[in-house]
Amino acid sequence: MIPNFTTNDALQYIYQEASSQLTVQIHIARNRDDSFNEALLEFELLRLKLDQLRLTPNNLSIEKILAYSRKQKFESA
Amino acid sequence: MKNVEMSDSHLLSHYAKGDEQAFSMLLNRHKDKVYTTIYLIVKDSYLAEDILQEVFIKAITMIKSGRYNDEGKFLPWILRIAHNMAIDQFRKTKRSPLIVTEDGSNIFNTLAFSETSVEEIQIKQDTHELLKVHIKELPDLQREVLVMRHYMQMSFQEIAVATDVSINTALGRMRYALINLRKKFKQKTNAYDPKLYNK
Repeated sequence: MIPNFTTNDALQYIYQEASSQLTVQIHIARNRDDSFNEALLEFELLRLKLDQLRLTPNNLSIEKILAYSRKQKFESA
Repeated sequence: MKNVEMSDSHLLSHYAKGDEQAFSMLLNRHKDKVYTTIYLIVKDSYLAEDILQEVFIKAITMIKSGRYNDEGKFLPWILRIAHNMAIDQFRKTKRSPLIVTEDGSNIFNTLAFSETSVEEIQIKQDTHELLKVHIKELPDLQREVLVMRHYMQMSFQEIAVATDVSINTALGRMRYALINLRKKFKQKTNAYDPKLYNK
């Protein structure tokens, strides 16, 4: 890790929550330092994997919800 | 009516006029995200299914009684309900007496681990399955931040406010969650490194 940045700085950069100034600084630093770049890439990949995780509920649950909705009447204002 | 072209707000306004198909689209659009959020908190698929139904029943009740104020933010709203219900359930479960084994570990952890060993190993190639298992093993506070950031789409600042900690603490928890996940993936990879078995 490049000493100029804290790990929290790097984390905010990975999650695109860093300030534009910090983003530029880290972007320049990763282009200059291979090991820093590799460390960031590893966490960016993990972030991507986490973002792609989608679990699907059982169809029966969905049918029950839809059936409930059909039975419920709207309350008039 | 095309699902991809309709915003949540449009679907809700159709639903408010009695169009059940609009609600079906809304449900199908967001069910996975809501279910994933719940499941990763309660760590039990049956319980997660029950809570998912409760969440949407609460949403339906609020919308049909005119108590829902949209403001174009249906997903954050329903995810907040899901998160609160899942956390309530998680706390109730934690208050239940634990069955402790001779070595002092919770028997349910042992069962979960056994399940992991037998079933999850068979599908070790499946990253999602591995990820699901590894997330379930994270300490509660780390898992909470991870779920809020990745599945509830909250910023670290919003997470800090919601969990009543500083942003540095929220970031720190996320950092440890990622480090732990990376470690678990590496352990898993090393465990099946063919080089180890070809000697």
